[in-house]
Amino acid sequence: MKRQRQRLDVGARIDRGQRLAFRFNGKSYEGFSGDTLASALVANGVRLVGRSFKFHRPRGIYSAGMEEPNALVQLGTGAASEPNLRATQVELFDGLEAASVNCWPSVNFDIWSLNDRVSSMLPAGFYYKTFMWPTGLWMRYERAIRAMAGMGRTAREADPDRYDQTNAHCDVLIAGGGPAGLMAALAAGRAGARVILADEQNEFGGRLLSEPEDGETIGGRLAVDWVADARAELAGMAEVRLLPRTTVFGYYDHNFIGLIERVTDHLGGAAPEHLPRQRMWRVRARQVVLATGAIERPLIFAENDRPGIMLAGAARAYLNRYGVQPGEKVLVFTNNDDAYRTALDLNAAGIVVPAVVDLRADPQGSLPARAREAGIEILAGHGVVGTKGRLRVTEARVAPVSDGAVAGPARTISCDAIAMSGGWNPAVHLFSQGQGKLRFEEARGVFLPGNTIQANRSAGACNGAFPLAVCLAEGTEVGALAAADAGFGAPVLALPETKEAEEAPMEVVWQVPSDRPPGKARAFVDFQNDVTTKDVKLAAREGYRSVEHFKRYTTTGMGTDQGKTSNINGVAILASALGEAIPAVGTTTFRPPYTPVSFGAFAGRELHEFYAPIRRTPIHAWHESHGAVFEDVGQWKRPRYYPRAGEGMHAAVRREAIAARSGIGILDASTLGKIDIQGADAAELLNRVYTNAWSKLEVGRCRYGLMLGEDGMVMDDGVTARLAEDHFLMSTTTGNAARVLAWLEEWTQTEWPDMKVHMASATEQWATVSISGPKARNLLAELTGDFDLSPDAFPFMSFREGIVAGVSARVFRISFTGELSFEVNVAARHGLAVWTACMTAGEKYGITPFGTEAMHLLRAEKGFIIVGQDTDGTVTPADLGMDWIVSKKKPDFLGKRSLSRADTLRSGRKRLVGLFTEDPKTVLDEGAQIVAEPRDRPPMKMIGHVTSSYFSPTLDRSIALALIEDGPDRMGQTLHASMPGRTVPVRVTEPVFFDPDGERMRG
Amino acid sequence: MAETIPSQSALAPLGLEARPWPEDAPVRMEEHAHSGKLVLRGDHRDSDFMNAVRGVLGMTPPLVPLGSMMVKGRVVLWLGPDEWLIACPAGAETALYAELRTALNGVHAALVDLTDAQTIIRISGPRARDLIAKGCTLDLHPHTFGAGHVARGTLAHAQITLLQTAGDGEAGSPAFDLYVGRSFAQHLWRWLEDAAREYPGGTDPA
Repeated sequence: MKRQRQRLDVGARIDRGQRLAFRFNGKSYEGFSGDTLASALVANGVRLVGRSFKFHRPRGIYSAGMEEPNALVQLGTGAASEPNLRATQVELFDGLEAASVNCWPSVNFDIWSLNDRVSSMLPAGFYYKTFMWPTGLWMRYERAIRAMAGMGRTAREADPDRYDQTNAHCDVLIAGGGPAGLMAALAAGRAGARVILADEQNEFGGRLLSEPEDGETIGGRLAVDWVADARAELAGMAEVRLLPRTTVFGYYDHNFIGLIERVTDHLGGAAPEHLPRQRMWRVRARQVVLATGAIERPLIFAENDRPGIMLAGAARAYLNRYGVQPGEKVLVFTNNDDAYRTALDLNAAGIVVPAVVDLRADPQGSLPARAREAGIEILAGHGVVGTKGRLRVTEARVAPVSDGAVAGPARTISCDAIAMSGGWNPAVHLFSQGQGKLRFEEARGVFLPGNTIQANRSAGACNGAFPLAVCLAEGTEVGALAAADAGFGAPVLALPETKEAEEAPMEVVWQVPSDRPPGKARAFVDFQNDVTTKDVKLAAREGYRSVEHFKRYTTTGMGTDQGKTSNINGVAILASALGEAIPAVGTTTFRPPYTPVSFGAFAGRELHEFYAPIRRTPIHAWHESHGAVFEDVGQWKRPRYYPRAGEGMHAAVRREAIAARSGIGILDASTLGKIDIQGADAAELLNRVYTNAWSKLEVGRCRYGLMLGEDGMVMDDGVTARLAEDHFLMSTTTGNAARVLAWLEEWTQTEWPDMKVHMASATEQWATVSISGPKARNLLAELTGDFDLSPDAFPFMSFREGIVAGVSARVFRISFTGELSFEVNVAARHGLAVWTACMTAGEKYGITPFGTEAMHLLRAEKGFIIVGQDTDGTVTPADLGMDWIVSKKKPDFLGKRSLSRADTLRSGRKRLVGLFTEDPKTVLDEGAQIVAEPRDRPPMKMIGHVTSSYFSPTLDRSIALALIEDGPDRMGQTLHASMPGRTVPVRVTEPVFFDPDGERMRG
Repeated sequence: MAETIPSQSALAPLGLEARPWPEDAPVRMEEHAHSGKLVLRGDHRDSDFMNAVRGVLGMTPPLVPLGSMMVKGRVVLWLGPDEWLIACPAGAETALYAELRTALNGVHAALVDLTDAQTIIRISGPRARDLIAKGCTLDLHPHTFGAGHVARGTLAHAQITLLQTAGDGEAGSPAFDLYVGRSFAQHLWRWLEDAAREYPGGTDPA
């Protein structure tokens, strides 16, 4: 294990007592508790951490935060492995294992870096221009290009980690726990508001964590101590929820906010089993405070991408927060005063600062003055015009610059790091996601929050307020205002005094000139996507004026970092190339997520059995223990068939169907929708929603009904019983129960509010045991003595109430199988007992449970339709040959008018018929297309399709139902069904195959 | 005669009695099965309807959203402007149904016995709200929701009617009755049990 040779001996927010071993690219290292992977790598002198996306150029750690474009790592191995994490955000834990992404075979020798040698041949839009023709080959090219440009690998195995989600509400949600966010939280929290304070880092404090310990003070306290006090006070407030390690990633409508909390990521293998790895928070906030800070803007200069070149604020963070030297000889390059803080801190830590190269002609602020006092050379009016070094920067060439051009000879300064700053860009991402409009401020070249349409306020650096005192003041103000708007009168909050050096104005420089011949030295704008200034200008020349097109053409701002460090520079350089003002070009749309969120977190616990609710009948456990194979019908699980040992589906279905035709079959029909309808106008409601007439249905009788949509197409069907003069029980298909109830509610609430009728879903109140077959009456007779079962006393399509198998029951004599059938409805709690009683008593009749598959076969033999299988929303009653159920006398019913439309009356509509295959053993595929003339060349005319198809053991041949153009006019004709690899001749027949007069079910 | 046949609760197949929750667990759940549930619909502006209901229940049903009322062991839950759920002790629903039917004779109203259509999952403990929040978007904070409040919503994609039965002050921690459709009950229970893994002290899911 190597010594942490770049680690300072004292200071910083790491615990040197807690050593953590980790591996990077196969080598062992050591870091401390409090480190990120990036800071630990810097501490170990690891400079080269990755390769760029396109040219595979060596790249080093560039930032200290979520904006990192270079240091992308694959974390972990095997199933839990995760690609493209930013090393700057990965908290170090013992046993961490990471590798660079996007380099092969290794980061030091990357074979694809050949791309870099031929980079002039790979300009912006190269892939579009080269590989888009012929279009058919793009898929092949794409595979090779992706292999070359791939960024990390997703694990092949299922993710073993657990993720959770939760919902939350609050009065004030604060995004960002820096000085502004903390003050806002204190102000809102003291007012008594429900506050959520979220920050993506492991501790609150924001940039204060990266300042030197003897730096700024707040209220006379060291900044970090003030942070600790504020945190402690907030933690003591019952209504304040502190969420560190939590990124506010999405700002949606109506202050709906997405947060991702990394619950145990920082614990590695020590994570407690009971906690999820990450938790997604879905928050509805009355008020939002955005205190998201600012992201340092890089200076764009020639050869600016060598490892060792990093943002000045990041250099300061590594030094002050993590106690590591970003280099031994660190050149500082700036256009503003803030970078002088970095120079001063480095100098104070004993690190050589060869010079501060300042693009401004005459920097006169207090910070440059202090640098001069400290003996740091300031090269005013100078710029870095080039660099050298292969796997790390070794020298910078510095020349006088003025008016955007090199104004004198360059000199060489040896260094092993360059800390540079082009100013700070307010992090307006969330503000913009929330549909806030941005405004551009010329003086600092920044986009700032403008008008908002949601209840939010911005404070601190994200609002363009960089000085600490202003951050605190703004935070206090917006925290109090947000609380007040949420209904909490805010107490006066004294503003703490601050001690902070004042800054002189910056000078906006979008592009540092170079003395190298054009085309020889590249200046990178977007590191992750290898976009150079040349690419930006090329795009402008080629006519890409829209910033959105420009983004996609050059790939600026794409990828995992979404251009956190490159977007604004890219826009500015594009604007200059187009000769337009920056605000006229604008920014690309900011979209969620702010930083990448794992799919696991979006899925949460909605996996496997929790993917969707599973609805079970009261008899479900019996089906399970008797080996039922289930099928999904809506959310219900229904037994499809009950295979015996060694039995396949066809054999089981055959056995079950024969039992129902010859003895007794028993079916769990509990899933059928049941709607209780009460009121004086109940019968009239049925008249209006069904095609047939209901007023004259006698109490105690049942009737089948067909329900149409307003378009006249069949929507649902089922049997409805009249329980009393003003009381009906409607049954619906299993999958349509909720829809039909909503349909009835909609009509009665919006169109017919005067009707005296109420509906309620009674589906789950009842367990429905359907016994079917010639022996069904014998069985029922054994289970009840309450009512006369003789055909005259209890006729088909009627119902009786009484005791069955010891419990109160409603027995309906209705049939879907075509056999003598009784549907016994009992309170759900008794369902299993009654089912079991039937099984026991029915044993001597060979009672056989049958599933939906046999049920479908039995009803198809009878030509009974299934809505949704034999219909598809384009089928009228006439198309089904069911004109008989459409009342000609009723003044109106839903869908009536559509039945007289020209299209519903025309000939040539697809209509229901039966099909017999010429070979009785051949079973057609459901969905098979029907043609009249199989020898036609494609595209041939398809005249219909098979809707239901089975092998009927009763008829000992295959049967099918089909919707065929003018089907009933084709009786006896031979048509052809398309099957995989062949056509099958079929004969058109009536759609009722068995007992056409219904003698069995009426018997 | 009916009672000679065993009654099976919605959650009986899960064998919950075999794994009770510790008394001091951050959340506790139990099934409260078989209590009577009648759904009543009618027009509260119709004095005949209101008089009939008042005569049987001894109270005016709650007329404001989120409201519930408890009298003589019965709880009446506001479900909508013309809809109430009347919960009563197990077995009392048949007599209550008959009594209401008689009283409502000739009045436009609907009454349905849905005792078996739903079961109740009772959730209590200091983390009860956090547990429910994992799958439900209702705001149950004491500022907006308290003992006696009732709301309908979805939890883990199942429709629920949620009644807060105890506030933080009374029992030390809140308690909620979740009315859930019988067919969804096992799904919801298992989902809640899985969600509660985060609060050690609960039982391990089977």
